[in-house]
Amino acid sequence: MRSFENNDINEKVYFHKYGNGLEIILIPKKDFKQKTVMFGTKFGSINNRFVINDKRIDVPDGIAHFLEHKVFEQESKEDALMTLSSLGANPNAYTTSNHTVYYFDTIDNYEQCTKVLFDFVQSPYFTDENVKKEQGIIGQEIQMYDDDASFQVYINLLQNMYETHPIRIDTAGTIETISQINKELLYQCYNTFYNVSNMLVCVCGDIDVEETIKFIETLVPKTGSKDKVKEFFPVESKKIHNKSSIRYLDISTPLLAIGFKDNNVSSRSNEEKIIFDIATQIALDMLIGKSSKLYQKIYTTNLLSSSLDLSYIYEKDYGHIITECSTPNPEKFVAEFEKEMENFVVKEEDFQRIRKTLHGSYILEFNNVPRLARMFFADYIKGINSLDYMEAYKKVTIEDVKKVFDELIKQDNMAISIVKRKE
Amino acid sequence: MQQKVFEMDNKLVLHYIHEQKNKSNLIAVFLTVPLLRQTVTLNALIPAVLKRGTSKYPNMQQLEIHLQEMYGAMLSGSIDKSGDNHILKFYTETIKDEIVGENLFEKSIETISQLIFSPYLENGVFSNEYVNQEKEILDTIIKNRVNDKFAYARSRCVEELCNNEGYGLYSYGYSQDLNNINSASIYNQYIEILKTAKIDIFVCSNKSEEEVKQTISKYFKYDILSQRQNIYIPKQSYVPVIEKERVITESMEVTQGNLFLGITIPKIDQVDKNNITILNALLGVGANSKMFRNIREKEHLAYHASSSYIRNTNLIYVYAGIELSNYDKTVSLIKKELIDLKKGNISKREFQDAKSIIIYSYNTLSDSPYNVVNFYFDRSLSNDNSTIEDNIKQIENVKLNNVIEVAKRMNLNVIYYLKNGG
Repeated sequence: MRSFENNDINEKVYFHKYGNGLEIILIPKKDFKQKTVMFGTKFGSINNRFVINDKRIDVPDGIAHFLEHKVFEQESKEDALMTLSSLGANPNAYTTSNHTVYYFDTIDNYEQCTKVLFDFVQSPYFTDENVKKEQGIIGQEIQMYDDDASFQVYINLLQNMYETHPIRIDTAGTIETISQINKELLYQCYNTFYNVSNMLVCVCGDIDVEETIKFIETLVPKTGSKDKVKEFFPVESKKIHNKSSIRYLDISTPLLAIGFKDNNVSSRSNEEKIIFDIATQIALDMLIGKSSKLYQKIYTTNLLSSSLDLSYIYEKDYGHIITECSTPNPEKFVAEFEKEMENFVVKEEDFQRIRKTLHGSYILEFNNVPRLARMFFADYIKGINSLDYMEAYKKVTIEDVKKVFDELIKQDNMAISIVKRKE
Repeated sequence: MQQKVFEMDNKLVLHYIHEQKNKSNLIAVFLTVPLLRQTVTLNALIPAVLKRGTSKYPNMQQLEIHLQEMYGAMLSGSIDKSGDNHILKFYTETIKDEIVGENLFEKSIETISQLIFSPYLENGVFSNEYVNQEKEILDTIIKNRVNDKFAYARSRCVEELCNNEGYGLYSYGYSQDLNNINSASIYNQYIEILKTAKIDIFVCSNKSEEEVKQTISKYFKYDILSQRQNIYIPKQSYVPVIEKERVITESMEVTQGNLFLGITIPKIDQVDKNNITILNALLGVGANSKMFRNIREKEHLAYHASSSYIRNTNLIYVYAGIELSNYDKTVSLIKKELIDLKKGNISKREFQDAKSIIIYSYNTLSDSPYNVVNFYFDRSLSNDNSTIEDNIKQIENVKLNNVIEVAKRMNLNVIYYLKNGG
């Protein structure tokens, strides 16, 4: 067991790897009522091609998400969602680009709920009939997103930035791809990825660390699989695939997303990744955050009709900035943005102030048990200990921010996506 | 978490909630006024104009820089509705002083009080420039209502249920009102609100009761507050009971149909509200509800199938996002669920599960200061002094026949359907 602590915020986290390969994160939060238990696998929407013991396998888009829906189904006929709800827990699951998680938040019956969680995730039950049923439900989920303008502006931006990388596909797949899914394919993915040696647990709340580690060990097999599974991705060009796109939907004010593709993620060490992440958040805030000159301009000239979302995300082998908002005039917004970006000067005073702001918002993450668990889980999948951010906020320099403007926030990496009403 | 309530000078009500485990202190100031057609748009503009600047920090940039220097203090102002009440909600959240070694608590109280009571003025009223810009932005927000089809359909269903009055009004107001609004008219309304609104100040903090009281007294001292009289008493909604159901259909270019069923229950009291809370959970809250099990899992008609109970307006809406061709089938199956509830076709397990999901939601409130604040505030609107713990006990004590009794009084008033068509 390894442990890390931070005295400024008085928090300590623990990591442990069992003999069977399963890993666990423990985050004690004294006096909080809620406990969150997450059990997940390193299998997400981008894992649509992989290699097992040197054999390459291609699966339909959306299968990780489909599997997520189906894992709840049990041979005893009672859906695990129902069993956990009856125990007073709030269970759910989600699929991201690179992992799938089953979890619950609860106050009562924590041990019993944990047993149910580990039991259902480890006992799949797929039939032709229940696969067909799910195609109907997920079909409705996909159609819901078809009408969701903010989702469309986001996914179109990813498709503009990436040419081949599977991050460009919708997590749920399409009606067409999910129609190719059958129980044999589900079992194949399940057997490949839902093995304890490829899985991760996270427990957060008012817990006893030693006891939790022992307890979880009783819920999993003694040994993990020896199969060698390798992720397999097509080589992504460093260029932007498509500079800009417009999608027409029945909405009032247009939506705009501006993205920057980060081509250098895999060349950075973990420590450098964290510093680069923080520096990028600072850079974005300096450029177009609420205290910036550009923000005052777009706001006072009525170019902004919503809040402005600024985010940088990175995984092991890719990363990008996404800024998203609603604006009556996307073209003019982009022109103002580009003008400011090209002449931007990074100032020490702004840097110090914004660094402090972001440090503050990181500390607030520790207020919410379920959210904290999700943050540690997602970071761990990419090899990062979230707690390392605490010190990095102090270490980051103005030179790091300048580097973001040199490397990432520039024309060559920029793509645009617009959703508006057909004129 | 329990609150302690104090009547302060000038008819301000302080709610003190002692809180230690979070990393931050939360201050909320809520100004409650009637929700009326003639003032709805004016009220909606006020928080937006106030956020543009204070007498000390006269523009957004300066205000934002001040907040950033406080480790990125959160400061917000927004508009909300509950029952027939319109509420101007202001929040500020800062990191606890002990973590950063600065007195952010006091600074945040000073800042939020200045945001509300000491705005940036020109010639004794709000700045024309700010008002005009905020009018344009509000106009866009109102027009953008159609962008989110789910939220749009929901608010249309509620509008129809309430006959476009009180809770049925759109809380951001109406575009046609904007022409007649200027910096003087909005300033007059603002002054009227300061004089007559019910004003609640919530402090969730690790500071002592004494320190909190002193700090609030120190920073909420304004001449205008001494003129406070005829303080507004919040109203519960009156939802007209129409026994005949109305079907309302609208068309937009959509792939999925958004179906809402609006239900009212006449003649209810505080006790009934707990019974209806469970009735609604049986119908559409969580994986064990009738909507989830039958409409989603058994019939595969929807991914999202649920229902919600609006406590202070006493209405239930049932939702399903469906394939366009499945309208008739879905409506008749949901009606069947309603009949089943009226007949008391409720298993012991369903009843117990409905109770536990409600109890869970009450229990988790105390992990989030925001939720605790909104719980106590919402109860105060119906003059209900119960604590979270009281509410849990009340839910535990509900009997199955209490629930069947309120189920029998359900009226399906409105079927609202947003379908495809240009």
